[in-house]
Amino acid sequence: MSRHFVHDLEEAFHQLLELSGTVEQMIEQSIKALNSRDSQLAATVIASDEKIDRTEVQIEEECLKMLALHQPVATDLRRLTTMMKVNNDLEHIADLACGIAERADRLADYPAFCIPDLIERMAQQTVLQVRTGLNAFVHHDTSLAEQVIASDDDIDRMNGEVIQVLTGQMQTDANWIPPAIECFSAARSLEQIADHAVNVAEDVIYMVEGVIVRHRYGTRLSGHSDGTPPPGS
Amino acid sequence: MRTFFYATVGALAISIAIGWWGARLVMQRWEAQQRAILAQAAVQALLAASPAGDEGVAPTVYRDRIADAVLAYGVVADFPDARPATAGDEIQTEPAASGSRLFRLTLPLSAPIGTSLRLTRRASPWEDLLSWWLTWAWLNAIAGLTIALTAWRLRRRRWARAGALQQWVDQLNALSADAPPAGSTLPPEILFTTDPQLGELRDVLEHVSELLTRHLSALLLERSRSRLVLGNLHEGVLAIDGGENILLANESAARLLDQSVQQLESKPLVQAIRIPYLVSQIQQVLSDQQPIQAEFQHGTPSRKLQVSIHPLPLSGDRPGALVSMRDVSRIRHLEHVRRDFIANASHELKTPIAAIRAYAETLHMGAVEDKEATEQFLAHIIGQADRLNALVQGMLQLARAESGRSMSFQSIDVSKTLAACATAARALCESKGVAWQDNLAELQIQCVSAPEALQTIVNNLLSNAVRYTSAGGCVRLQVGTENGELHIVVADTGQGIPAEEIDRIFERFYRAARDRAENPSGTGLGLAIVKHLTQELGGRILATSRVGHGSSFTVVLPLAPVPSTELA
Repeated sequence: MSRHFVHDLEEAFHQLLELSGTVEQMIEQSIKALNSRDSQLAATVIASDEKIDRTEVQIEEECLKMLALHQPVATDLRRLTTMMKVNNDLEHIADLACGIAERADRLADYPAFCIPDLIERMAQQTVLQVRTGLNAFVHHDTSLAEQVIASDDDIDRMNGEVIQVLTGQMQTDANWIPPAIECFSAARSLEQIADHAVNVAEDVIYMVEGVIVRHRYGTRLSGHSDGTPPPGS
Repeated sequence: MRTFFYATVGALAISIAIGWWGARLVMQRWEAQQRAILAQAAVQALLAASPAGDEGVAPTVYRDRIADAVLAYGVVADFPDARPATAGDEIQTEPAASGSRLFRLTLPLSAPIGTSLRLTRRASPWEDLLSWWLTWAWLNAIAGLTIALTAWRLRRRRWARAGALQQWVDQLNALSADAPPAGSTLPPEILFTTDPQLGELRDVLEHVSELLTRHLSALLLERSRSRLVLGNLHEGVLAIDGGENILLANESAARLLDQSVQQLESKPLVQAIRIPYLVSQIQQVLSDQQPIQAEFQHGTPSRKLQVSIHPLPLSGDRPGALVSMRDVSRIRHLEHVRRDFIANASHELKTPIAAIRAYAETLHMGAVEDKEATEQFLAHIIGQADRLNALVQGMLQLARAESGRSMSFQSIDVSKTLAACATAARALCESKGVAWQDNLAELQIQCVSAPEALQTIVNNLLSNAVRYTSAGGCVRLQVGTENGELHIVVADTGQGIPAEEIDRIFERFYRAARDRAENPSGTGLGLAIVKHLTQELGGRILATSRVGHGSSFTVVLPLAPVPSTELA
C-alpha cells in the first residue's frame, strides 16, 4: 500500500480516537448530570453533540475518499470499513448520551424523586463496556472484544431490574410517574449504548479475524475450544 | 576445510604409493617371466643347433652351456649337472620404443657351428600392469575411501565441537533481560577440551559471560526497584516522548485513567488515553515546553483529577513530557464542606442578629411607647437571643466534642443515665400528639462511658426524632447489648431522609433542603455533635431512612472504653 494511504488511514484513525474520547466523556457527563440533576452540565453535553456530528461526517468523507482513491484490499479494507462502522456507532452513542442529558434536564424538576441506585451501577457498567470495546478496537484485541460481547447480558439484566424498581415506584405514588418515565428512558438509552459497544466489539473481531460474528455470537462462544468461560458469567 | 584438504591429499598420496609399489612388483615379475621365456628359447636353440651325431665333445659343451642357462633362468631341470652361470651370460635389458623393453642374451660358444648364440626379445609390460591394476583396483579404492572417511569423521568431531560452541553462544544470546542466566552453561565438550585454542576461547567467554551476568542482574535489580517505587507511588506518573508515545506508566496512572499498564506503556498517546482534554494539554506542553497545571473530571463515578505536566528533556532531539496526576476528589469535597460550613455558620448567625436588630430598631423608632408591641418585640428579641445562644452553645459543644477533652469516663447504669432524656422526650411527644415507646424500665446494663456525652447524644437524636414526626406518629427509644456492644436505637415514623442526603446529614450545618424550609428552629449542628461525641466514646453511628416511612439512628458504643490513645 502506498505511503499516502497509510498516512491518511492513520490520520483518520486518530481523528476517530479523538471522537471516541469525546463520546466517552459525553456519556460520563450525561450520567453525572442525571445523578446530580445538573441542568447546566446536561446542556453542555447536548451542545457538544453538534461537534460530534460534524466530526462523524468528516471521518466518513475521509474514509470514502480513501476507498475511492486507494481501493484497499484485505486487512486495509477491513480496517477501513471497521473504522466507518465504529464511527457510525460512536455517533449513535453520542446521540443516546444527549438523550440521557435531556432526561437529566427534565429530572431536575423533581428533586425529591429518588433515582434508583441501580442506574448508577448500570451506567458504570455501560461506560466500562464502551471503554473496553474501544480498547479492543485500539489495541486490536479480540479477547477484550469477546469480553464485551459476553457481558452484555449483565446490562440487559440490570435494565430489567431498573424497570422493575421504577414500576414499583410508579405504583406506590402516581406523582412519580413522569420522573420514573424519564428514568426509564435513561436506562433504556444506557442499554442501547451498551448494545453499540457490543457492535464495536463485533466489528473489532471482524477487523482482526475477518469473521462476521454478528447475530451468531452464541454459537461462536460455545464453539470455542480453549474452554475459558466468558468473563462476567 | 583445511583438514579435509589435507586428508584428501594424504589419501591421494597413499593411493599413489600403493600404485607405485604394485607396479614395481608387477614389473619385477614380468621381467623374470620374460627372462625365463628367453632362456627357454636359448635352450631350444642350443638343442636345435647341436649336431645330432656328434656325441663326443660338442654335446658336453652345449650341455654345459645349456645347463648354465637353465640354472640361471630357472628352466625345468632336465639338466641335473648344470653349473652356475658365469659373468657375461647375463641377459641385458634396455628400454625400447613405445614403452616396450628389449631383452638380449648372448651365449659364447666354443663349438664348430659358431662363436656365440645371440637371442633378442622385445616385450611390453602394459598388459600385465593393466590386468594387475584391474585385479587390485578395489583395494586401492577401499584404502582411499577409508582414508577419506577417517578424515571426514575427524572433521565431524571438530564440527561437533564447533556446534557445542555455537549452542553455548546461542544460549548466551538468548539471555533475556527478564531472566538472569543461571550460572555457567558450558557444554562438556568445551568445558573439558584439550584444545589449547578452544580452552583460551572458553576462558574468555566464561569471563565475558560472568561479567554480563553480573551487570545484567545489577541492572535488573535496579529496574525492579525503580518499578516497585514507581508502581507504589500514590501519584500517577506518565512519561511521554517527543513522538507522542507513552514511554512509561505506573499502576496509579493506569488506575486513575481506568486502563491497565499494558494498555498504556509504549502505545501512542492518542490511542492509549482517549481523554481529549488531557491529550490536548499534553500536546500543548510537547509543543510549547511550558509546564501546565490542570484539573479535569474523569470516569464514572466522576473523579476530579489534578495533573501537572512538565517538559521532559529526553536524550533524543525532541523533548518529551512528564505527567503526574492525582485524585483530588476528596480534597475538593472537603473544601466544599468547609466553604459550606463558613457560609452556613455566618448565615445561621446572621439571621437572629438581623431579627434582633430589626426589633430593636423598631422599638428605638418609637414603638417603645406601645406597651403591647414592646412586650411582643422584647419576647421576640429574647427568643432570637436564645436561638443565637443555642447556636453558639452548639458550636462550642461541637468544638469540645471535636477536641476530645473534658470527657470523664465512669461506670454508669445506662437506664438511669438515659431516664432524664426519656422523660423530657416523652413530655415533648405528649405535647405534640406523638406516641412514645422505650424499654428503659426492663434494662440492667452497666457500662463505662461519659454520662454527659451519652445524654447529649440521646437528647439530640430524640429531639430530632420528635421534631420531624407529625402528630399520630411514633418515636421509639430502644437500648440493648449485642456482641458485647451497647446499641441505642432512636427510631421515628417521621418524614424520612432522601437517600442522596443521608451521607451528608452529619456534616455541620447541613440541613436537608425541605427541612430548612419547614423547621427554621433547627441549628443544623445536632447530628454533627452526635457524630463527634460517638466517635469520642469509641463508637459509631448508623442511619437508615426511607422517605415517608421514617428514620432510624443506631448508636453503637463499647461497654468498656478503649483507651483514647488507641483511638487516634
